[in-house]
Amino acid sequence: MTLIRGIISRVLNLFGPTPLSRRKALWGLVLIAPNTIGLFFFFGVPVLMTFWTSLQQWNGIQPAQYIGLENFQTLAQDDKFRDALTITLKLVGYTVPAEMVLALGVALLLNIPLRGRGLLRMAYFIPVVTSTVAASVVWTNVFQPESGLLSKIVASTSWADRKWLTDPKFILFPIAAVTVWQRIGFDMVLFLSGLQAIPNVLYDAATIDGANRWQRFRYVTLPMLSPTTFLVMVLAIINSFLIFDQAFIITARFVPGGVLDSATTLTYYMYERAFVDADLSLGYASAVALAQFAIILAITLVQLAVQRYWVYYEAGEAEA
Amino acid sequence: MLKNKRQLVVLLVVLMISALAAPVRAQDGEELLIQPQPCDEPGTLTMWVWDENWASIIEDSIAAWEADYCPGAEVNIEVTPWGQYWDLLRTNAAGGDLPDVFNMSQTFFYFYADNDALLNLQPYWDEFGVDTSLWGSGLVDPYRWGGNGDLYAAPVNWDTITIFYNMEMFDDAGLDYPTADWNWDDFAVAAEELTVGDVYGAAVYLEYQAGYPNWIAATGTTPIVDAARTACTLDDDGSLEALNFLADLYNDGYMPSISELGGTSADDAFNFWASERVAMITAGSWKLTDAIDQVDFDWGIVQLPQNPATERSRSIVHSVGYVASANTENPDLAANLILYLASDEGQRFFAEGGNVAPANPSPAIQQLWIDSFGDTDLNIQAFVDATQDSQGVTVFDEIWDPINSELVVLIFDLDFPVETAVEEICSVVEDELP
Amino acid sequence: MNIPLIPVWMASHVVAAGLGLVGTRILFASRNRSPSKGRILGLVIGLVGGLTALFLFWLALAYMVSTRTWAHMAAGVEPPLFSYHPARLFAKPGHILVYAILIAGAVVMLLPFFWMASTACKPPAETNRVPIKWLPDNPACRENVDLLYEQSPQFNRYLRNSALVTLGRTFGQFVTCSLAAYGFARFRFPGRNIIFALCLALLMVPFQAIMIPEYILIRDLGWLNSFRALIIPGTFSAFALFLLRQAFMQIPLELEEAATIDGANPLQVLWHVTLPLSVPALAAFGVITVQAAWNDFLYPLVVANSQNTRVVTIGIALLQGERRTPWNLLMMGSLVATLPMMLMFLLLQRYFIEGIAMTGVKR
Repeated sequence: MTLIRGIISRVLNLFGPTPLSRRKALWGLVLIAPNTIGLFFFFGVPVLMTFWTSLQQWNGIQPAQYIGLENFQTLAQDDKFRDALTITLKLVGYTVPAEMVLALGVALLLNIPLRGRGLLRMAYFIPVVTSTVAASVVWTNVFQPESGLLSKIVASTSWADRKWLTDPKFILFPIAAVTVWQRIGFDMVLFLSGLQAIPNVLYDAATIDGANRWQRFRYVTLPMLSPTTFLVMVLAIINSFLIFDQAFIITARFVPGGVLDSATTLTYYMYERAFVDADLSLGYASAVALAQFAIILAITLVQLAVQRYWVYYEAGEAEA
Repeated sequence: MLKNKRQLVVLLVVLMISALAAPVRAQDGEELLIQPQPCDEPGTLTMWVWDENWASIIEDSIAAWEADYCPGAEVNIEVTPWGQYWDLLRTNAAGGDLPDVFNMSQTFFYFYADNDALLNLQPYWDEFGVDTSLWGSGLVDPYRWGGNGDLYAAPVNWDTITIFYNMEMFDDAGLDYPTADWNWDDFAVAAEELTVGDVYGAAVYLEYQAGYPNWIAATGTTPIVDAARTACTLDDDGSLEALNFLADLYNDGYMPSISELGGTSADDAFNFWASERVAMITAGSWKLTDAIDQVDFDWGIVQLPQNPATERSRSIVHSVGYVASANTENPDLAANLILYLASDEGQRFFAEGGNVAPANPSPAIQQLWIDSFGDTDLNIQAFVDATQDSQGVTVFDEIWDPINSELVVLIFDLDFPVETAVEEICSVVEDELP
Repeated sequence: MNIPLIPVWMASHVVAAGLGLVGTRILFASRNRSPSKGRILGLVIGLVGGLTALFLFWLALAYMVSTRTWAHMAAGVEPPLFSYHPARLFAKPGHILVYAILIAGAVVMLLPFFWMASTACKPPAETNRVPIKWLPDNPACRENVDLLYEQSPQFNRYLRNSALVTLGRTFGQFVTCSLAAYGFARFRFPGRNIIFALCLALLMVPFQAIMIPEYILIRDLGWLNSFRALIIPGTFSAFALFLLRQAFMQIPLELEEAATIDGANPLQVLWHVTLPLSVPALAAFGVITVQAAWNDFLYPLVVANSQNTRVVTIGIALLQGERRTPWNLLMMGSLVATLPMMLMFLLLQRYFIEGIAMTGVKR
């Protein structure tokens, strides 16, 4: 009897030490239930199926064969996978800082009460909704050597006849540029909404204390904006790891995936394995996707863990 | 003698009965190559196509099939964008739901045939009395499978390659217009003479169908991969001869680079040509409509030049086919529909629709297609002639694209020597071979 | 002193454009002559000269007009209604620089959009030109709209389907994700961090990797080619959850506590306190969710590509054949599909306004 009571109280204690905290815990579970259940059913289940597929040898038509961890063993020795990972990491490195700094800058400027601000904000948002086909035509044209817009602007430098789109040495630059171009608007929207949550009284107080413009930015805007910055950073890193469309925009008219696989990102490699290859293997493609998933997850978990050192929440930390 | 007479009578009776049973739309005196048959039992079929223009033509022809040969049958046509067609087909295949009848391309046939996903149509061809050799070998050989060379698809159209040239530029250079019997040397001379200022003489190397493989085929070598899919042929003598011929023209400045053209598709060469930046291009029959509608200078069509040694010019030919799923619940009905689409009667819809050249080789049908372009002096017959000595597609999946574009970029943009580029690409191609 | 404002303002633009043109001319002509000299001269005249002319004219105007306006204000009279008012345009002189930067950036941002819009109005013969044309010689907007509907008679239906899907998903996500975000932001329960991390993890798998399982799942539910398949899975989102959670956590606790003490239950607090204080975040949520639902392509293609349930992105992709790219129609279709998104953004961006979040906050 006491044993059962002990177990019950232990279980109850998991939810909180007092009846009130237990009730709060129950409320929390009820609130998150619809979205969580829906997410796990509609997207979690397919991901679990991907886990299962990764243990199989399956070309999508013949019956699948269970082969254990063989796909992952192959993966560990796959040079192409390693190349794709390197390319992806480089792109993450090129794009994430650039898009965050530029988007924050644009958001700050477009937070100033300017005439025509709405239209300017829209101009920066438009890349998010512009047809990727149009983007492909225009950007490949901009980066075309000799006749492209870029080479006209940099006419007398060594950049003018550089083969941005075909030379494996340079291909990542236009891809990064297009990625940043496309995502500034997205990040700007998040930053703009984050900026509104900073109470004006803080700026007034800082001004009274004699803070100059830079100090107000450094000691009021940045810390108060940190929850949004955290959001943008996590999403930017995830999205850069998943780059697919942008690589396609730049390489589709030449050699999809880049000459000699120079623009084959992880997602593109996975796609190739699953849908393009003559000897395609959905099991192997799933293993690639899961390896990619594991890397992103690890990075995101580190970010979640480290956020307590730099992200300031008005209502106190997320109480881990 | 008597026996023969009796046979004749029987034959006549059979012909009359079949003529009564099936409403034939043939004009008098016209010989029908493929005769549709009434279906045994109507049912429901799903069918996938990738092009909206095709879809509307196919809808019309299927309506006629349903009315005349299979009352009560129902065909649900689903149109999928070309860019995602193959991904979606593989998704559905993985789910075990291939459509009953679907569009197939020679470059993707191998995968489905190799995995026993397709219905063998040969028994039906035999039953319907269709001699499958009536189609040119380039059209159907890539759709044959198994030891007996059974035909798994009905070819619906063909695409061949010719040269489009700017007549005004030939006039300015004081050159005679090329004729069907010109050869590579004549071509090289013309390319040189036609290169003036920022106008190039030719752009004839892009992509698989309308590019360098035509030149390799002219030497007698099967381009990129041999027909048995066992070896890379790019390092064969014929391939090297053709690639070096083209690379020399490029290195001498008579052909633009990929970077200048802005892409590796034959469309990029076409745009260059339509903007009067290049005098001669290799162009596919699918570009006829655009060229007629959009080009405002005088231009002509001529057969590909002949290789001086072999004295042959050979066009790459590609044919879209219709196939049925091996798991279809109505194989007889699916085969009956496919027969209709390949028949003279079904092919009329394609011929009259223009743009898509009908696969059925009946002269009447081919003439119908030529006439669909209206009153023009253009030598459209050259495309039909090119089907004669043509080269079928042997490449598949990744070798079809992007690997073959890669070769083009290496040689014609990054200035790799032909031998180095070929070595690089052959190693990739061999990875892909079964 | 009565200054003819508009003509002067326009004249300044004409002069600037003229100088720019001269500069560009020299720049381009230099390709055949002495390159370096011509190029530098062209750049200097074009950029510096043009901008300086513009700047000087504007400054002068700003000065003249502002004195006038201030005089009006001093007299307590409403300044004349005049929208192109340099003095109003630049609340502070520093704003000129801000405009210069923003407009330069906007040009880069708009380049593909501009080409899309101009190609939508080109006759077919002008779509294939090298180098690409930035403006049509013989605009054919009307004709292309007619052609678009001729080629794709169901285009309006696709637009309606997209609108339905977008509304359904956005409303659904608003409900499920604001509840869940509130739960994660304000309540402590066992497994909270793990569940949250798992939700985020769903953002880390490329759709191509789960395309086949997703198809099988929807098929086994019997939902293929239905609006259920298009809408219901889209009413759950890890992204919106993350966005709203971050926003809710920025709201001071005291306000909610006050409401709780007054006897409100969590749902009431969420509705009456938290959500009203999160208007800018909800606007961001709206912009991004609407846009994502409207532009979704691969998922609808896999599960609902029948004539009745087809969304507009698929309708546009269908305009292109294997060997046939009618650029003008493709771009006209894209333009028609982009305009609602632009309108949506213009309406929602108004809520990115300082102060809304903090109205009523006493600290």
